[in-house]
Amino acid sequence: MTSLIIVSVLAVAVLYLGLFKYKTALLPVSVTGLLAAAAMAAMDWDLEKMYFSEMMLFDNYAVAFSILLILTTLLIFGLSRNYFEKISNNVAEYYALMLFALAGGVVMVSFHNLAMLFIGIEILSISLYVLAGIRRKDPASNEASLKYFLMGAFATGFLLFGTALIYGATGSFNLAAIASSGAFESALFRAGVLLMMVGLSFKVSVAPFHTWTPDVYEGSPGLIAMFMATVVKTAGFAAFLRLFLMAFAEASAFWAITVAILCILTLFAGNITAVFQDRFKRLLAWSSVSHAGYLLLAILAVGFSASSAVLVYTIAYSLASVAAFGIMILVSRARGNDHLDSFNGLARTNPFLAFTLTLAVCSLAGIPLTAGFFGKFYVFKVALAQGYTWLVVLAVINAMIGIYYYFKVIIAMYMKENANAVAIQLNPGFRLVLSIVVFLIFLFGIFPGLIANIL
Amino acid sequence: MTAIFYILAGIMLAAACYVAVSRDIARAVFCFFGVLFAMAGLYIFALADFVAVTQILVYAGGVVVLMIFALMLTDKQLLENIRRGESSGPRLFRARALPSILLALAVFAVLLQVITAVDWGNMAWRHEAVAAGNRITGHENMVENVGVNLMTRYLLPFEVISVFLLAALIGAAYLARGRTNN
Amino acid sequence: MTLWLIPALPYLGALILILAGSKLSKQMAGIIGCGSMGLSALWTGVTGIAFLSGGREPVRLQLWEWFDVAGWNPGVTLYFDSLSLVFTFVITFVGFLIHVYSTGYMARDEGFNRFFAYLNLFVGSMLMLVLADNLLLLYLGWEGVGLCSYLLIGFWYQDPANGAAARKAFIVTRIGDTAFAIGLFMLFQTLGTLNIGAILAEAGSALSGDGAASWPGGPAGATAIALLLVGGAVGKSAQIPLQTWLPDAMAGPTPVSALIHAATMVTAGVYLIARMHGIFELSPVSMQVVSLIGTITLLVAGCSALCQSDLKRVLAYSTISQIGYMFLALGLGAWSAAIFHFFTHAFFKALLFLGAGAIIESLHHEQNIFRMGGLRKELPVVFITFLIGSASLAALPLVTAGFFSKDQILWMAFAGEHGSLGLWIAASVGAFLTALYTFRMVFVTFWGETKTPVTHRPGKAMTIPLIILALFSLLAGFIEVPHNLGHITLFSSFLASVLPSPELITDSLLMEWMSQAAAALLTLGGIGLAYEYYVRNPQSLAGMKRNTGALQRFFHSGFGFDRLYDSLLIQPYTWLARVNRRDITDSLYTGLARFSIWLHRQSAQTQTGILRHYLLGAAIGALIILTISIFI
Repeated sequence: MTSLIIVSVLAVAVLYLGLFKYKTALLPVSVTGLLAAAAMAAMDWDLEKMYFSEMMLFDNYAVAFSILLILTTLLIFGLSRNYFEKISNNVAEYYALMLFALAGGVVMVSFHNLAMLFIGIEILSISLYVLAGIRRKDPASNEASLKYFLMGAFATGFLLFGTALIYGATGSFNLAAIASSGAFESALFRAGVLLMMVGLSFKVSVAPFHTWTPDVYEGSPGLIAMFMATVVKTAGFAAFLRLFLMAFAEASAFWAITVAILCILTLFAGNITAVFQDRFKRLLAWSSVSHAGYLLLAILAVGFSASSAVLVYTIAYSLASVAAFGIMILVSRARGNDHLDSFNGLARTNPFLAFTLTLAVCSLAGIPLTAGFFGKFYVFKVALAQGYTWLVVLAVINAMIGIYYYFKVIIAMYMKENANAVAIQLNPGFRLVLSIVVFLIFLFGIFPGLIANIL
Repeated sequence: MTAIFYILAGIMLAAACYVAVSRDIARAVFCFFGVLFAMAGLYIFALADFVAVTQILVYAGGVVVLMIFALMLTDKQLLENIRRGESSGPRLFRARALPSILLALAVFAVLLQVITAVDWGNMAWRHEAVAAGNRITGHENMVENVGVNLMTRYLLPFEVISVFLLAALIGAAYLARGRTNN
Repeated sequence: MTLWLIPALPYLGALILILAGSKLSKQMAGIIGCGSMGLSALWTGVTGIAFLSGGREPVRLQLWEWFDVAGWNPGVTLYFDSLSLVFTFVITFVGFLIHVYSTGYMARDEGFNRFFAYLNLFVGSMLMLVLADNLLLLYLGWEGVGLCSYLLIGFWYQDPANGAAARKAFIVTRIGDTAFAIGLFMLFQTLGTLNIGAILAEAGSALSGDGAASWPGGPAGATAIALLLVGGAVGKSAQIPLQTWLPDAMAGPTPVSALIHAATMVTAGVYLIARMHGIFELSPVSMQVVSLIGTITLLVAGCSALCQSDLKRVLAYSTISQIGYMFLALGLGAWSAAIFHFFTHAFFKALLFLGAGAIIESLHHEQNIFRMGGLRKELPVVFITFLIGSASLAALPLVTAGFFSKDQILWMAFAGEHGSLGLWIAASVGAFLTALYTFRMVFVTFWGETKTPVTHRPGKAMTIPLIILALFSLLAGFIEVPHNLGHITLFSSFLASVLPSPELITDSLLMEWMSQAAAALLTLGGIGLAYEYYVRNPQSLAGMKRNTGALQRFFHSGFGFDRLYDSLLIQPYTWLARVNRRDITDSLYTGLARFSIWLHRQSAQTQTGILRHYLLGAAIGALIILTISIFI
């Protein structure tokens, strides 16, 4: 709870800094504040505190995901030095909006009441609608913003309708009360669960509600797309799982088949469409869709270890995405676009970047010795434990398809030549963040026990 | 009483249908106003007088007026172009809208199915509430009730909504800011 | 407990050499390579002394848990007991000497730094193999040493023949590794663990119960697992029928042959069987198979060694033959005898290879023994040490280490629980052959007139390891002396806590004396015969060559295994590959690729960018989801 307050107040403080033109102080203040927020979140470990008539529950699940969200934001802030300055003079707003979005994310992972879930999602979304369109002169950015907003509004409708039906069936917004209401057979309840599922599926880009993803990622500034792929996706899935784990777990028999169908659709839609993308950002967007499919596998297995699997997966995915999007930003800035051909010869000019990106896409593809391998591994494991062998087989096929398109960029970097490529300059922030990411991907790939046993 | 309910409901549905199929934006906005107003009436039937008043204030008084402003401020030429494109077709809707209509009907059928499948009178929580005497008779002061609840039980959502509004405000200010400064 | 330092040091050395390889001077690379090995050997010594002076309790050191799935949590865990200590000692100590030697041998090679990186990597993996607490980690080390072996055989990769030899070694051992892996799967299926201690405990309780019948997988299961493990061991240790790769592996630099293909890696199979002895005790059939493989191998390889003209190939066949002895001992249940022979063999065979390397180096890379000769006076240090190594290999009675270790195996073949007269005779014939081919090599190389001039002489870095190894080849045997000659059992009682001691069916002192006397006579006879033919009476050879030319060619080709495999496996395979150039199964995959492309086109059409379509798709999706709820 303290961390939520710190993040919200930090956003306001950042606005004030912007107002009084202390631009150089923006980043240090944000970073310090986020560290404090992460530390305060960690203090809640094992306390299982309920807040404000059971509106929020800071259990270990909430703490772990809050810290993950905060630290991922911290990594993104590490890359944002000199980034927003190139877009506009009013930098404070970006930081403030990202912090607001983070506050929404923290609410989403710690809610214990459907009202809080809704408000959390909306805080996150409204900040992102603006962030997506933050390049006001760029039509693509405007289009992304508007599309995201309209689709998001549509999804909110489903979410609210579902919430209302569940209230109608159980008479409560409280997760524990819903879980113990015994109304699982009611058609009202079922329709409510499915409508909420539709609404959440929009937010985490699960097929067939994923169609906005590539357009919005492509139109948004790279750093914002990175934020969407990491923080937003993590928060979305944490909320998804938390809702279905704490409120609907008893009724899993009827919604499991729907989730399974969505999972297959998402996996195939994401991977098959990613195969021939020739723009790296779009490729990453489709790959982000496919990762939603893998994560759905864990939702299916609403057991004790599903949250652990989702945590490992989202950590691995966030780390790899930070690296992949970060290098995409560098390359497209230096070479004009994010076409896969722009990566040609990167291994020669910038071996460190090429290595980092190779590691990142290996982690995304789930190659052993990277964190991504264990992400997939644990997700498959919990799905297998629930008896979804056929689904895991399909997921593994998709993982193989994934290797095909992920390796295209490795091939471009290492095997294709670009005669007039010059080395890309890295600022210290990038170097630091990418080094941390490389270290962590290896660390969690070799010692998965460090994160697998947290929850 | 029941007759008034059905009249209000009928007005609302008819107006909503017109909003959906109308090709004239101005008319659609006015019909939308009708929808919102009729809905406020339905809220009163549900003994939610505070919500009904809020509905009229916020939606009828705020949102619809905003829409009309937006309509009036929009480039006339743009509206004219849209109208010209539309006037050549049929008055209400075209064949290419057929899938949407079928879809809407299908959703309606599903919802109808859900509604008929529910045993409305026999829900556990209603029995509990009735047994506990926790019901509204229409004589309570609803405003007080809402106020007390917002400040006690729903204090946290109430406060967090302020974060939401602040984010929306900043976003709006940023997007609407003049373009001269950069 | 700092046990982890032993494998970590060579790995660290390898890491430094790989990362900074091109920037280091040769001197620096040599220091890092030898230094890390020396420290590792030193640390082995320290740990070993602590182990000996302590209660000799096995040490288990869990470094970290690898992963934890469904109750299976293999750790990266080291296990240190007397068996591991013997292997660790040999690996680090002999490894260190060979590292030092290599600084002299490889001094003028361009790939000096690369060589030491590989060599260190090899030692690290080999240590992982012998220190592993579970079979999964052991398998990791097993594959690691296989990889290093491949890299080092093909070290001079510019010559395609070396690359081919490396590939052959890799592929042939792969056959064994596959069997090994299947064995591991079966073990895991049966017991749900790959922890060596747990498996042995299970096997032990089955054995003390009603034998293999109480093993979870039944007697057939135990036999199958044991035979699959033997498959792995046979591949790695170059035993029949997978022995063909080792002679070709001599394409690598000579220190590599000494370290990997004589002293350590090829004995990994021996280690595996000794380590998993509990399973073999459950399955008498597999024990018989092991001893049969060993016997056939030692005879076949002994005959082949007799007809080689390449110095290193003589030694390669002799290695195969000596490992055959170890397998024979393993099959007899004489576990500690096998390990003892490994122990002495490591010293004298490393010595012989290093000596051979010194000769080859000083004769400007001449490897044909018939173009050598008269080196007795030219290279005195090499001559004396080589002679000591040869005597040890030929098991010259009483004074050499090889005698004591081989005598133990011979005696077990006769008097052991599973022994028989047939095995004893075969092993004795093998001893005769060993003496014969060893001294044929010695006499041809060092006696007679000089045929190739010596271009330069080995330096101190090369001769000092030779001298140290020569001392060990003489003295290492005295830690285990048969009871009629003094009865010292330091080695076997040291291993007794890990490996059970075999039962004897006879303890007749007379028989033991006779067995030793027969073996000694055969050895001396072999040496004498070699002296007769190659020193005193070389012209009689020509006649023999005429009479037995075909047989000699057959022996020289290693009993034609290569040709057999070529016509039996490789030819049909390449024929099939030629016929099926437009692969039939490929069409399935191209079909799959075409299908994917088609599917991609379809799915790419969803990316219209038009919001209305997106919303329509989403609404249809939502409708379908809702409809599902009605029908379930």
